This record gives sequence, C-alpha cells and structure tokens, in this order.
Amino acid sequence: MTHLLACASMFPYDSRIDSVMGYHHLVVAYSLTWVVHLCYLGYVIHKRRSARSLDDK
Amino acid sequence: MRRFQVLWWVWPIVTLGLLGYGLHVALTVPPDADQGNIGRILYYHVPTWITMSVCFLANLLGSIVYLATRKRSPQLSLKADALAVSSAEMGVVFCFLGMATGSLWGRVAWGIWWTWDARLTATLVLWLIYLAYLVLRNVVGDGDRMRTLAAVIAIFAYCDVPLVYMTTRWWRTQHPAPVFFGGPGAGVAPNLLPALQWNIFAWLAWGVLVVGIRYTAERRKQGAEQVAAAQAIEVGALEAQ
Repeated sequence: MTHLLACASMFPYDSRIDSVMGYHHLVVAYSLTWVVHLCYLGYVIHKRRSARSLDDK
Repeated sequence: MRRFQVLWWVWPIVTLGLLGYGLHVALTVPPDADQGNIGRILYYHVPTWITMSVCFLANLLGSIVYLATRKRSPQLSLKADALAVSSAEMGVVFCFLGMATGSLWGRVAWGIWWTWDARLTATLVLWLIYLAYLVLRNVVGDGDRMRTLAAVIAIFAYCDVPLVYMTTRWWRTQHPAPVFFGGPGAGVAPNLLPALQWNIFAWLAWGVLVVGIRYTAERRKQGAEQVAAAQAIEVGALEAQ
C-alpha cells in the first residue's frame, strides 16, 4: 500500500486548480491503463507458450 | 530473417522507452489552463482511440485479404486471418480503455460517468460488435467456415468506426470535438502537443508489439491444426486400406 501511495505521488496535484476526486480519477485512469495492458500482455504470452507446446507435440 | 530477429528484440526495448518517456512527458507538461491536471487523462485517452482505430483497420484489411485469397493461396489467407484476430483483440482492449478513461474524465468534467449521446453510444456498440466477433470465433470453433463468417462480420463491424468518428460532427453531442481534424475549437495547445504525440507513438508501438506476439501465437496454433488435420487424413487412409 505504501508503494502504491509512493507511485501516486508522481501524479501532479494542485489544490488551487484540482479537486481531490479529479486527482483520484487521474491516478486510476493511468493505473487502469497499465494494469489492463499488462494483464492482456500476460494472456498473450501465455497463449503463445501454449501454442508453442501444441506445436512441439 | 536475421533482421527480423533483431527487430524482435529491438522493438520491445524501443516501445518501453517510448512508453516511459511518454509517461514522463504526460505528467510533467504544464496543466491544462481550463481543466487543471485532470486534463492529463487526454494524453492516454486520445492515443488509445487512435491505436484502436489502427487495430480495427488492420482487422478489416486482414479479413478482406482472407476472403480474397482463401481459395487461391491458403497460406496467405491463414496469415491474414491471424492478423485479423490478433488486431481485433488488441482493438477491443484499447476500446475498453478508451471508454474507461473517458468515463473517469467525464465524471470530473461533466459530473456524470456516462450519457447516452451519439458518440458514447456508437462507441459502446462498436465495442460490443467486436466483442461478439471474438466470442463467435471461439464458439463456432476452428476451420474455414468460422474464418469466413468472422471475416464477413469484421467487414460489417468496421462500418461503425468512421461512424463513431463522425458522430460529433453529425449530431450535437456531450463529447468534445475530435482533437485532430475536429474543426473550429478543436485541437491542443502547442505546449501540450508533445505529450500527446509521444504517447500516440508509444501506444502505437505497444499495439504493434502485442499484436505481433499474438499473431505468432495464432500462427503456431494454425500450424498445429494443419498437422493434426494431415495426421487425421493419413490415419483415415490407412484404416480404409
């Protein structure tokens, strides 16, 4: 959790122009994009490995 | 062949570099004058849509080539089909992320998560059509019949892509005008443009990388299917003797 918060600190926040909700949504949008892409990459690599073992047989 | 192998190693490194730099630029350029820092979602939202459009275009081209060559050149048609399915999957992922990031931005900018305006509705329909395309490919099973059916559906599905782009021109929508070629009032301030451009390059490179890996997996699967089919024919011939 501490690591996650440390990552969140790299997202800029200025209380004069930003709302707390806006800041949270910015963090979620970037994190979600990375998580979904990495999950899909994992699925694709798994698929490739399965196909390779199928091909070797 | 050696060049291809070098590219296979260089491309992921270049892509990761681009993504890292894109993220750095997106988080360090000055905030948008009107929206504040929430406007930074745009640097991921717009490249997501552009990459999705490229993926669905690749799916269309793969499907057309499959239909055109399936009788004359079976090997080329299988390659085209592998490209079609790989790019459709990547496009569906990008489409989902485009809607999700847009919704997160919309909740702050408009005060709502979702509205049934022409742009958002057409986009949801687009995502559902391509999702149905992928489900169909899994349900019908392998073989030429499935591939032909999928290719025909892909051609019809692509009709929604230009429709999604034109919705903000044809109807009054809640969604802002497109950033590029969006007419008066559209576009990005010159000092914010590099963040957008770097992320467009980065996510396009990511799309090519992941579609490439998925394509090789599909080609291997096709190869294994062909071997299994040939063995089944051999066994059948032996049993007949």
